[in-house]
Amino acid sequence: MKIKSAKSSRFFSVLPSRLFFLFTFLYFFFSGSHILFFQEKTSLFIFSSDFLAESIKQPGGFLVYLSGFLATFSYHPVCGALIYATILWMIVVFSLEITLAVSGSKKMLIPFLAGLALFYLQLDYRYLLFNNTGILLQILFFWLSVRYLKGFIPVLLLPLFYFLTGGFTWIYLVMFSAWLLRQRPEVWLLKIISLWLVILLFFWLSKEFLFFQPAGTLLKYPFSESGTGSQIYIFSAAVIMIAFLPLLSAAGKKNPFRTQIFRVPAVIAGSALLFILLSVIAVLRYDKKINRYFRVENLFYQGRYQDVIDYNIRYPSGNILTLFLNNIALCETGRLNDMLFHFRQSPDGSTLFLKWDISGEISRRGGYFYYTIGMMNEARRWAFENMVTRGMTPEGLRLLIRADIINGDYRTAAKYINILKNTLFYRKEAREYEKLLFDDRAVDLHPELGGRRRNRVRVDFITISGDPLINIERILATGQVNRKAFEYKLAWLLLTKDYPGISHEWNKLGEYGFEKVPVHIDEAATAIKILYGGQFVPQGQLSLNPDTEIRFERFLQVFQAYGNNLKAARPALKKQFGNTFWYQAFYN
Amino acid sequence: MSTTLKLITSFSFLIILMLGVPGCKTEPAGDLTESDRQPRISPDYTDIIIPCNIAPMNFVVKEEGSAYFVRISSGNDIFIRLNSRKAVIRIPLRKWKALLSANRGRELNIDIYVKQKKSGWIKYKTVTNVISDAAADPYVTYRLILPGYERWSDISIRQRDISSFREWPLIKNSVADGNCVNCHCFNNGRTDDFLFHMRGNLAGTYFYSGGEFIKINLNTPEMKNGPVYPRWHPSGRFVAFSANNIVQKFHSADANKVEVSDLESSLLLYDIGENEIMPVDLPEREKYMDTYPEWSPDGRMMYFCRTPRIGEIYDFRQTRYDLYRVPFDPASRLFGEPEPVFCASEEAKSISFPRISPDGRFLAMVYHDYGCFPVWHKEADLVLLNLETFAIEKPDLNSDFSESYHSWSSCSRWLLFASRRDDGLTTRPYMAYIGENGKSGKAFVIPRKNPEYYNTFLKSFNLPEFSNLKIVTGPGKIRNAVTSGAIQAKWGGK
Repeated sequence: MKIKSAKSSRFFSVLPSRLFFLFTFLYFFFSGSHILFFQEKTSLFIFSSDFLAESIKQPGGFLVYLSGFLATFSYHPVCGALIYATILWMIVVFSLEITLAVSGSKKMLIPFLAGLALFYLQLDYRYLLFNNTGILLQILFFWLSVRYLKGFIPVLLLPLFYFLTGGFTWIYLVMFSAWLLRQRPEVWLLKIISLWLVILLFFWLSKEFLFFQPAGTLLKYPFSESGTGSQIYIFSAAVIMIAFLPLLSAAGKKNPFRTQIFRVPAVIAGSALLFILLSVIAVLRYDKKINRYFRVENLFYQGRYQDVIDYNIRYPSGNILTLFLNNIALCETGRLNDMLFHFRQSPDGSTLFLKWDISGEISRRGGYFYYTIGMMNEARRWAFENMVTRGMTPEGLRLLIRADIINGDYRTAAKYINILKNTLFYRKEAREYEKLLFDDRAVDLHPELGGRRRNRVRVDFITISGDPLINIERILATGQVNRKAFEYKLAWLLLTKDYPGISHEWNKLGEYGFEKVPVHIDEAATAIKILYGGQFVPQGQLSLNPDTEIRFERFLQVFQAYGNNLKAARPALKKQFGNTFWYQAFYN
Repeated sequence: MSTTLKLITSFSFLIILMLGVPGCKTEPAGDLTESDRQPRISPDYTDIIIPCNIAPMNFVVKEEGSAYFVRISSGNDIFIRLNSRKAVIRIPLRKWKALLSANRGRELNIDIYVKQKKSGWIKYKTVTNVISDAAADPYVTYRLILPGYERWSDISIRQRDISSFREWPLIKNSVADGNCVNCHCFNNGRTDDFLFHMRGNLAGTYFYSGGEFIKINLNTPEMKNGPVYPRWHPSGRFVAFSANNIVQKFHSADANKVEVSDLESSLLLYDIGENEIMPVDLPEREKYMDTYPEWSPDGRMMYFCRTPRIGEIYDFRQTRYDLYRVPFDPASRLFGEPEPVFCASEEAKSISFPRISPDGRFLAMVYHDYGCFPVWHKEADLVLLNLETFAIEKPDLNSDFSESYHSWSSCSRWLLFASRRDDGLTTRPYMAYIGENGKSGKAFVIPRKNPEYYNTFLKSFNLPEFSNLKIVTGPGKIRNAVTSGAIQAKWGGK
């Protein structure tokens, strides 16, 4: 009976923390996969001593290295969810242990509040994993300091700990100082003074002699506002709660509900409240748009272009980056000008091509447009420039490898392959690429790279970074048949309602291997023919589709039925003709 | 806790046991198969002449095998035996140093044995290198930078002791607000004076002397373009600069992906003592673009690259530079009449980076198809101009990829240069022996402790320079220098 009671008591004592773990794990796995995806794709962990040496060249570097190692497992969402949830759970559990060590009993409030705040923060995809890892390490070091590290050992270990965790060490310093102040163990004052003297001395040595970093970086790194997803206030609140945990735990009065009679109902009620709070946070913080964007990006990186299109049909988006990737997918599947207006488009062309921009969000993705139209030098330039400013990423390296293999720059590709071979989840793919090195025939026969090599831009010209359209014109001016570049030019003409341009390019459709006229070109040409009679006479083997003419007549009839009033006719036209060139031409 | 302690103790014991057990001997035994070829090793340290003060030339055996044995000897003396289950061969520093110092001027033999599962031990043909009696300058300074196009992030100028693997930063842009640092230059490599430029919000030219930095603003309102490529006069009194208006373009399909060229350039002279900067007043200089100054060892002649000034519309492929020189009188700071020394344009070629050996016998320069920025030109090679006969020689140290920036050691026997031969993208510090007759040995990359280091390291070793003195700066010094106000140079032009 006693054993049963003890088991039951233990079950209830760990119920909230287990509930916390289970909830966060399930959330990250089912609804937070985009967070895992983003963090995995924005860094690259390399298993090599050189990478380790490069990573730990400044205080806090080890923390970033460790977090990078953990984040790499997000390649498999179940592992990522497990890691993210475990870190949060450990923060709560060891915070509880600290309250026990400080006050003699576990105090739930602050540990769970801090846990909830950190969970809230982590649901922003830009909140990087090293934040929670850093906080966890402070808690662990503090716990070790008060439980096992006797005398001045924590003081002596402090420089090492600062070197490992950088700016996060300040949390530990406040925690340990607060604990010394509150508990007043033997020589507590000397310990506090020596603690701060040691850290200040080490900081000064670091600044003047050891590390080529500005004082601000040495104080904070790896903490940064952008690394918290610009959630600085909530992050500060969570950090303050944890830093003063020893004081706050000790300050609390004995909880009347801790008596055995009230214990179980209190735990159940507390767990229910925890569940409600977790649910509220989960609902409030779930960003459907971002989740969907990253889903598209994930499909895109896998080269599943048809799935990208299908997903965007199912979940229409107004996000420029989503539409940019979708347009590439349309071009890759040869339907850019059949389906361009099935999706929202920006009249200034920014959904077609991204202009050169220093911002990471643009340079991370802009190169894929050039990759698609066969400008491999430009594709690799975008990818490389992004790597210079943002560091190595798996997708950046993959793009560099593919572009260099297509270009025949095998030695350069080999370097990137060597790096990718030292990763955990991309090594298999790297070995596949390695088989292609210095083997032109193997590249030519490769299902993806072979075709791209055949279609790559071969005639050299000077590129204009700021104007993708000029680059397209220059490709087409070389006389090389580059259907994808031509498709983009047509799409641009459609977007800008360039009727003379469309009429002019019609004659080249056969030249670029079109066996039927793309739907939107047909729509535009029909409109030109009917509205500007006689200005458009189809040349070559391709002719206008008579059905399109009938559809356009219907379009005009609907418009006329609303007294030629653009605003009044819009709902009806959108319903029937929303994905046609005509609707786009009328309303954009 | 006791269980944890037991676990830790057991684990530690296991580790100690594993470390303590002597490794299986992998020395060749039994029948040997002799191969009639040399083994493939990376980096390629075969058939080379090496300085007697070089660090251990660690390498990876690129032959399949389950065990490897390496014997390094000179004459009949075997100095080093290494066996390994892996193909990575790391040579102990002390033994290597003893070997080199005891055998200067003699051959260095490397016997490599590889154990293969089916055929047993194979002995490859001995790799024979030569230990030169001439020591190279012990320090090499370079800038580490990702070979990007427009952007930069982490840039540092570092110094490396070539007799060991020690490397340390002189400057890192992380303490300078992320500004670009470039174009370091030594005062002959024999003093601790050196300078570098910084761009951006902390712009200036930083002169380092006697352990202190002085920040000088060399730009004056009279100058159209700021000073770029420096060259210190042998007296230490002057620094010649070229002032360039540089642009870059990107090729859509060419193997040379980037095109860097000058729209304008001219030469400047900075008098350090007077803190005065002035134009190098050459006759009809407005008709030309002059760049890349270089001094003769006696300081009485300045060499430079020259091409006719380009118009508003120009073809960068037709811009070709010739080598000129002009007499210089250090006392009066006056220049004489320039004369052509080597007209590369007559061969439809261009030259850049003239560098004269300290003994004054050879001028090394980069020889390429056009323009003045050879690092992005695959065809760029180093050539030697004999300054007695004015004959050009293309040494054996070149490759199919770009060879560009170079530096002579003070004994004139070693040429250090940046080469992109490894991967076509990142420059690596290669060096080669240059004989008294101008014939070169085969080039080799400066060894690293991890011989596979260069395979994955993405940064370029930019502007490698030999020097004789070790320079130690520190983050505090750099920070103080960059945050201090710049001393304004005076304009000495007419």
